[in-house]
Amino acid sequence: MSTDTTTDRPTREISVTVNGEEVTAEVEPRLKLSDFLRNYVDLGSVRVGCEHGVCGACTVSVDGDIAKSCLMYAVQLDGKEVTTVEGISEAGSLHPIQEAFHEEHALQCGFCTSGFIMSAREFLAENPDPTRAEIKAALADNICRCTGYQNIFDAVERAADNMEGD
Amino acid sequence: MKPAAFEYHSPETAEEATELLADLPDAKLMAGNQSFGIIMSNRLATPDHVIDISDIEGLRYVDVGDDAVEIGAMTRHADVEHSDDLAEVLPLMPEAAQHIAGPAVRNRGTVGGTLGEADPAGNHSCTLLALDAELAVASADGERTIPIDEYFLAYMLTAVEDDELITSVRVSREAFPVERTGMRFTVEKRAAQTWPTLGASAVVRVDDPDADEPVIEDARLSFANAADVPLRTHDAEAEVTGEPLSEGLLESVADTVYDAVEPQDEMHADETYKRELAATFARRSLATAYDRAQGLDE
Amino acid sequence: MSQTGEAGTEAEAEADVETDDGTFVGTGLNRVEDHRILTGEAEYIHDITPEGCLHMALLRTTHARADIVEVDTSGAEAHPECELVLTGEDVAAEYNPMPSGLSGIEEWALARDSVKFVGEPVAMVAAPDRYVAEDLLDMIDVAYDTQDPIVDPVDARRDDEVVHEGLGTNVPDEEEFVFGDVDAAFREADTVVENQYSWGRISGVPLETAGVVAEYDTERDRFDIDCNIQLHTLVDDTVYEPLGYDPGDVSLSVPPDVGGSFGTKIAIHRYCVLAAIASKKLDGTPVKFVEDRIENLQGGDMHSSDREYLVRLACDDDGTIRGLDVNFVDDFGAYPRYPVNQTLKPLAVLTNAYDIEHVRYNYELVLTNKTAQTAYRGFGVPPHLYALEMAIDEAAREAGIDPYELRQSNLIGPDQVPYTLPSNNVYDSGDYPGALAELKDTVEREERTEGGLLDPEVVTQQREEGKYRGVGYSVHIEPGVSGSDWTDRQRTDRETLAERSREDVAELPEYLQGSVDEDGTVVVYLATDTSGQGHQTILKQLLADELDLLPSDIEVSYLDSAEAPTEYGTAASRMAVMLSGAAQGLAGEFADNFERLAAAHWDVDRTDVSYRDGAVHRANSDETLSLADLAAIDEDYQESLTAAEYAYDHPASDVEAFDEAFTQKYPVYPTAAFAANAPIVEVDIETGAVEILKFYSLRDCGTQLNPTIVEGQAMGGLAQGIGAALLEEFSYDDSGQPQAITLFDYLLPSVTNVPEMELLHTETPSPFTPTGAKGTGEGGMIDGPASIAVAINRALEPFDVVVDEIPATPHRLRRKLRDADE
Repeated sequence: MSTDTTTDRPTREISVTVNGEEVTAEVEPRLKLSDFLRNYVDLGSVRVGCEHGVCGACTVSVDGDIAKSCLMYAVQLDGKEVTTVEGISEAGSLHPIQEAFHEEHALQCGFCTSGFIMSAREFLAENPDPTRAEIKAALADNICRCTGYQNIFDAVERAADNMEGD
Repeated sequence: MKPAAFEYHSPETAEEATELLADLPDAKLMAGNQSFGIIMSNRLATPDHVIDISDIEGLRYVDVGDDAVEIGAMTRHADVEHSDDLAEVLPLMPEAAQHIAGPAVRNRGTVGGTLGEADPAGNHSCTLLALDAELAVASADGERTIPIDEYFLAYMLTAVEDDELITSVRVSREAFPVERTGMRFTVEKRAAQTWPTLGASAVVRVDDPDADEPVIEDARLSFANAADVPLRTHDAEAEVTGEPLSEGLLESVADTVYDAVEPQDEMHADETYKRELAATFARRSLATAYDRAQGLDE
Repeated sequence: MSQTGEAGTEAEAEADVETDDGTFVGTGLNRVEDHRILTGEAEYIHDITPEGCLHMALLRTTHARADIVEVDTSGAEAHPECELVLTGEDVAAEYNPMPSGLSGIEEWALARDSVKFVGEPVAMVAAPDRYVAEDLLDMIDVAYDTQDPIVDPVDARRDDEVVHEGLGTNVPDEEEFVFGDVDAAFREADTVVENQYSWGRISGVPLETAGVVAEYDTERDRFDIDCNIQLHTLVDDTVYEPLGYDPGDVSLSVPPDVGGSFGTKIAIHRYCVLAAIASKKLDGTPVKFVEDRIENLQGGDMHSSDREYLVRLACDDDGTIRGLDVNFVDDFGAYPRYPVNQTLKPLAVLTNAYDIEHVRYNYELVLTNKTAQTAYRGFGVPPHLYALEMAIDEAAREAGIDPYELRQSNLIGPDQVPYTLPSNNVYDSGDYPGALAELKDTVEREERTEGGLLDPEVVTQQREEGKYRGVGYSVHIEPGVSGSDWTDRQRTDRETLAERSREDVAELPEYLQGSVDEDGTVVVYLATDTSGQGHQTILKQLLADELDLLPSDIEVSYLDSAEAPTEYGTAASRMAVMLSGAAQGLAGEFADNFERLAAAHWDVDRTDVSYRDGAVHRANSDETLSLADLAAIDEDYQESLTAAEYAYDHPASDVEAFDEAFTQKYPVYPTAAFAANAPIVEVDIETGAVEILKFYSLRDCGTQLNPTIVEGQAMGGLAQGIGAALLEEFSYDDSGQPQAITLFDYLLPSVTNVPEMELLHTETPSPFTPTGAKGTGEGGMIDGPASIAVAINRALEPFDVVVDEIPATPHRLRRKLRDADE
């Protein structure tokens, strides 16, 4: 991503707290949040699968609520907080949801995985003891083309069990 | 799928937003951006200026009063879905909100955005039509209200002018006494991520919920994606009003609805199929709403 | 060389747990690939952006059929950030056309004189970022002279108008196969059922789109291309030929993690070629291209089978199937690409699991103004099994026989395997009637009882609400481990095949190479690419057993196309079997080399040393040499003996039963994994909506190398089968406009569409393969659609409805129910 433009397209300076760290950048208003996180902040976990808000691979948390980062612009994040998969666990360790995805073989190609983890994380924070049906409904914004979902539901159930008391 | 360049504006109040609308040529309002963002990416929309109203706090509220419910235009689908107050007095709205995509989309998408976009398949447009809502709109020149039955003009075309902003919707509670009103939103969505093939809102008020066969005092029936605009079927409503709901009546209303809707062919839903679906959903929505009006539920 | 992408010591430690038998093969070892993906550290192709990289975008036509009158690029060129604009003429002036699946057709990376499908690229641009690149596309004007497109494949066969003028026909390939005495079988049978079935255009649609980063080396005049192409060591010709370079000068390197492919990414060569050309034009500046989702769905060269079937079945009153007659038209779109042999692969499972002697098989490959076909999981087999099973259901109704009984009575018996099909492929092992019976027992026991989904009381009650439940039982063969020799049948003079000798058959191997690091770690290089199948994990299991090591002693990495020999790779449910053979072979080479090295070191006879338990032992002594010792010693020798390579040929090569299939170029698939399926469905007859309440499947892929991965493949495949059966379709309207260019319209199965799956597993080892494993990467997608249709037929039996169109969308089922009502 080139930051120095030779044309007169508008830009804005923004300051965003990304995974706890303040990031300041000069961006075009049209820059999607997904591209900002990937190309300016180098957060590879934010995957771009459809860019029209269907697949959920780019799901991140914005001020505590999950959002599809392909349908937001970086300028909208000025003064806000973003969390991605890189920010949910200490380096070298896994969050209980990540652990459960591994244990339940809830990923194959892995391209959708970050989005599912972010969706599951917000969901379990509000619903620590969910039913299977609630888990399904909570993941309605995410598409997986490899696993057939059952192992993902199992993983979220397992994570809920493991996180009990957290 | 990258948008064309635009200038970005983020007013903090509705007044600032309307001033920007008045001053800026080729400006578009951006609410939750869950649909607008897509046509921007496709470059089907290439405005010079984008006015982001999604964070105007003064436009995000659900106010349930004794006489009316008022919902700020930037109220999120998730706010509607989780509002206990709405679940109590206008349960149709949270029920319909649940069917909009998934949680991430519902965190961003707004009631005002849905109305402004005026997609005939929009859930809120369908429910608010049945609830006879009134839209409050503002421009730099002042404010006005638009009854929802005068709002949807043609396919994705509305009575709101280019310099106007929807600020809220208001639903009078007079017609919907909680203890004898039932509501039901029925929808077919072939997969979680897509738009409804067809949706139906039914609202039924009965004279006496404890009667064996309560008489319907008032009925509302509206449809999503059954015409080029959200559609209310007044003839069908009249047909059930003044009677207890019976199987025979449901059959006959279904026939009326079959003829009243004006659906378009789609890839996997031709016109005949959508007519059938509208008829079926009219029957099912009315039956459930009637049960709920009596305090019975499935 | 690519990096391993490996990370995480936790994964390593847990990987070292054996089965009770002391082997790692057979354990449900959690994948070593997971950690890097879960933490976001994995680098997919989209994540690779070299310093100074430019971004490419493609201008695609919105016309299905038109002549290009003029391409005016001056507007784009005038833009200050425009680095490059190329048109079809620019490419044609210096480069070659892309390879075609059939002769006589020329396809260029950018259209030259005419466009033949909506989405066909007409021009490319390069700019500092993708946003600007798309700005540039808006500044290119193309003048077209449009024509009425050729859309209907059945009508297209009349050749009133042709897609390719020079070719003169829209049917560039067709063949009829007659096995046995088909005419007599049909003449003598009590009944003949005949019907048409339609299989809609679908495809894999992986979550990750195609991507490429190409860099031209100005000094060495060669290309380094990172991309997520599938089969990079096999199909690299699709890139180096258009570029006009030798294979060794075009290196295709695939990251260890690819976000799904399912066959579709075999055909992303257009992007690789254009990015490479751009980089060369730009004096070696790296050029990146990431296909966006609309490009991918509309014109990404990734649609697959689109067939109209006419099937006849000859059946006796007692239910004996005497003959089968299959005819179909396959709409290949505008260009017949390499997967033209998707029309032939069904010959490998010609009669599915049924014992039918007399069979006619006839196809016509048709060209229209649509996106070209690529491969998709199952490679042409799923539509065949679907059409066949629908015909079976119609025959059962016609004969008044329970479809379970009719199927059961015609299945190939366990005493008949190995079973040679009329079309000469051989099913290796399996008890199909037993599997079907066992599954039925299970379902009847679990579900047709109180509280079950098929509890008669519940079924009756649901019917009163207009909801019809049904369960269908069917058994399906998944052909595994394709040979490669047969795949060019359509580019071969078929007359000459009769005289072909077995010695003329040339197979493509699976290749591995490895070496020992100074710390004793065995580093092994795969010559294939991986898109989620867990090959690193499986290879560690296999080699740990073969070399008496722990999985954590082994590291698995990847070779690029220039380093690796031409070999086959990940497709056609090959890898479980091919890696089994390759790992055994490589371990043998390693052990042999280790022993030679140790013998030389100790200056003893070869027979006085032996490799076991991860070290070489000296006879009559306590002396041993560990792998680290060997690596240290090896440095003193000229010929490295801690390195090894092995190319495993093909399991069928040594099996005489396949000789006829090999020499005649009939599809050779030496493993027959199988599945007995019983989805339980409920159809809302008023809305036509189908809900799959539960999916029972008894699956057998021989020895399971890693049961966790096997089950993952099965469930994922079944989900894709559900998509094919109920949701997905790339429709075109009469003007050749694609109707599904977003994921709102091309409906991938979502959380609401995929039911709970009850999977049962049996293991009938293959007698033909090294570990007894059978290929099983495609299973659920192969058997899912047909079995769901069978279940719907059962649910809608009271209305005499048979699913004759896939996907069985609500409006299609309503159309049939409506007709049935009237």
